[in-house]
Formats: sequence, C-alpha cells, structure tokens
Amino acid sequence: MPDEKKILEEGKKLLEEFSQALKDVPNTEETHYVVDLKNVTRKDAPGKCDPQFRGKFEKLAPGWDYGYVKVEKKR
Amino acid sequence: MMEHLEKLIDKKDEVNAFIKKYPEKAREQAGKKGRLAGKVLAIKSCINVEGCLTSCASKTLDNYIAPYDATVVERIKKEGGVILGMANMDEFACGATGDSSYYGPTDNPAAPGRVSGGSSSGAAASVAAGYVDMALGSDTGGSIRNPACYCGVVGFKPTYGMVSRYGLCDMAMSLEQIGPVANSVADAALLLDVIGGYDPKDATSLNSKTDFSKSLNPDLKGKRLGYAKQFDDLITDEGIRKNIHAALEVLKDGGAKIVDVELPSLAKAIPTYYLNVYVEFFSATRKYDGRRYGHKIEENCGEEVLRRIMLGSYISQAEWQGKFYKKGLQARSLIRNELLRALKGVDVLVGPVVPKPPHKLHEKVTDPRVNYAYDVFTVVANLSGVPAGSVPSGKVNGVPNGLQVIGKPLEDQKVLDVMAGFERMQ
Repeated sequence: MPDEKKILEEGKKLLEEFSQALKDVPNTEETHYVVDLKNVTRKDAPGKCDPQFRGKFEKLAPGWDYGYVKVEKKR
Repeated sequence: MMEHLEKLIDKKDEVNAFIKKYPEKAREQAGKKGRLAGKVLAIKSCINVEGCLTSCASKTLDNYIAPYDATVVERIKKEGGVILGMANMDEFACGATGDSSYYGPTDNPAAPGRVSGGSSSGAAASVAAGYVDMALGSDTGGSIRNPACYCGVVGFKPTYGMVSRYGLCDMAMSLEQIGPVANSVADAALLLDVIGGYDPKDATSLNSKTDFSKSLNPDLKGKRLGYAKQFDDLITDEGIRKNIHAALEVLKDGGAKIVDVELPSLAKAIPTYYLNVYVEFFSATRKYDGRRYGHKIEENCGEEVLRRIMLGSYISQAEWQGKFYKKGLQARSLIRNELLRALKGVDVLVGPVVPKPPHKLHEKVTDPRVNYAYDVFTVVANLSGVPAGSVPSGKVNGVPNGLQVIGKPLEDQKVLDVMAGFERMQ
C-alpha cells in the first residue's frame, strides 16, 4: 500500500512549486472548458432501452436486494 | 478477413499490450461491411466495450464488465471494425510511460527494454507490434501522442468536442479526447471519420463534419509552419533536438516555410496542467466508491493515482482555491491565448512531441517530476482544446521519435494534411 502521509507531504511541496511557477500569471479570466457546455435534452418520449441492461448492471453491483443496489450505509 | 483475424488472434502478446483479448467476440464481429471492414482494433481499457473488462488498468475495476458500448465503440462496430481486445494503459490514464498499470508495464516493441510511453501504452504498442491494424487511445495531456512517438506509429488527438466522450472513463473531463492510433496518417484519418461527429449523449460534443480521409492532401508546398524557439529551450536530449531540426529540413524540402513563433509561457505548461488535472481527477474518481461496481479506489489504486486524488482533494478545499486551482485556470487562459496567437499567422505549428527518450522498462522512478516532464510539449494542445498529432520522424539512438503537428480549433484536417505530407517525405 502506498504511504499516504508521505505522498501528501511531498505533494504539498510539489503544489508549492507549481504555485510559485505561476505566481506572475495575471488575474485574468479562467478557462474551465474550451467549448460551451450545452444542456443535453432528448425528445419527450420513451428512449431506446436495452432490455438486458438491468441484468448486466445487477451482476456488477456487490449487493442487490429487492430490485435495488444494496450498499453500506456509511464507513 | 477471417484469415487476417486468425493470424492476429494467434500472435503471442510479447509486450503486454493487451489486458484481455476476446477472440470469440472478434470472430462474431468479423465479416461485416462498412468503412472499417477488414480492420482489427484494440481499445484502450478506459473506453467501455460491452461485455469486456473495462478496468482502466486498475485493481479498482478488475471485476467491471462494461454493460454498454461507448459511442465510439458503437460506431466502430457499425462500420465493420473488429475489436480484438482491451489495451493496456497507465492506471486510470495517470501516467506518461505505461508502467503504472496494475497488469504490468508494456514493453516497447520498437525499442525493446524501454517503456512504450503512455498513458495509451497498449494502444500504441499493439499497433507497432502488428497485433492489430489500428487502436483507440485517449489523450488528456499527450497520452496518444507520447506512446505513438516512442513506438514509431501515428497518433492523433482531435479538437476537443470532435469525438464523443460518452462511455469514456475520463481522467480529466475538460481535457481528454478519444483519438486514433494507426500505422499511417490515412488510417488514423479513416478511424477519425468513423468515431467523430455529434453525439447528443455528450454535452461537450460539437456538430462538426468528419470526412478527413477523403480530403487528405499531403502537399506541403506553400504551407506556413510555425516553430517556437521555446521548444529548443525545453528539449533536454540533444539527439531529439537534432532529429526535430532534421524534420524541419524535410518539411522545407517539401516546399513548406518554417516561421518563427513565440510561446513565452511554455515552461508554465506543466504546473498549469497538473493543477487542473488534480482537481478534475479527484472529482472524476468520486464515483469509484465500490458500492455499485468495482472496489473503493483509495484502497486499491497505485501511488500516482492516490497522489492525484489526495492533492485534488487538498486543493479543492475552499481556502486554497485562489492559490492553486484558480491560478491554474487563469494560467490555462494565458497558455491558450498564447498558443492561438502563435497559430494566427501560420497553418499549423510543428515541434517535438517529447523532450527526452523513454526510460528503461522496470526502472524505478520515485520523483513524479521525472514522469511529468514527458508532457511539456503535449499538454498545451489539451489546455487549449486544439487538434494535435504525432507522426514518426525516425529514430534517436535506436528509439523512435515523432514530430508533433498542432493546429487551430476545428482545423484537424490541416494537421492531418501536414502529418501526411511529412510522412510521404520520410
């Protein structure tokens, strides 16, 4: 298992280096996406459905009960 | 077709290019008509292929069998392409060498004993080794172009939005594009024709036309190609520097004019890229909680994946946003504006893909800066959303090298044309 404490401590140093390298970048606009994000909508009608999808998905879930994925409440 | 497929099925995977092969599924797909009829493909293991292990090369998803096809896979199957298997890669695409895969590193078929490059290591290696005709990779900061360069094949990252990302387990959503790896520019253009175009399932998808292969024009005469002096400042290997300058001479011989351009903030590209990637990757991995599929990521991943998650979490905290993420987003604007300015007076930019040769297979690299340095020339295209490709430019000390061609947004055709022109001159 990777050493989490070491990764975080060394990572903080890395972040400081990166921050220093960008310290003279002017306060300008921020680029989050290079294209406009659109709301994706579909026609108000039933879409195509793979009748086998639910079965495939059920196989993937670690727990399945009464038609619902069964998960741990909280760790 | 069947004879060709059987030959490929029988080939032993000597470089660990595949995580899993599916010969029976491939035989079922063979024989269909379409633009990819007769072509056998490998798919990077972060792209959902129904019924196949889509593990992202991580223990986290080592039991995840994709319940649906990504849009790109649907389109490949519709056009008669045959998928032979799932290609190896860096774990969750977090690497530039291919050696962080849970399933072991991929040897370089063109330079045995060296890493194949990454993160689309298996995609490039499977094409270079002759295991498949073409492959799909994904490119967040150079992950198609870097392994294509080191393995001596063609790799192309399309304009952001050109290819649907539906069904891609992405590393950083605002940067990553799926793209082709092939033995020739013509084949890469053909695969791009098939996978490109609008997809209503992807909010970032653009309504763009994709008929690159028919329009491919390798004529270099009169082309204005920009070269930034900052490339020379940041190449750390003398052999690669000579190889790239020899490539410029080849382009000139073909009738192109090399124009000096400036990318003054190129040295800021790595810090900018990683400050963006850490945050986006942390966000992207929240779904890998092991509750609906797979296992909890933090308990099953390797060191580099954990580093990116932990640092993404750390800088996402409100008190740090101004110093790290916000600054990274502002620097992204700066780099993007500079690149678009450099592209203004030229058709495309040409330059190196990588600053140094690939390290040796199984060499232990403990400092992340060493691996991050591979990305310095490739991340600018992702930060800016522009198209870029790698085309073989010969060998440096026995290791393949590549020329990178970078274009303006939606001018993928021009990039492919210059790549084809250079390929023809080689």
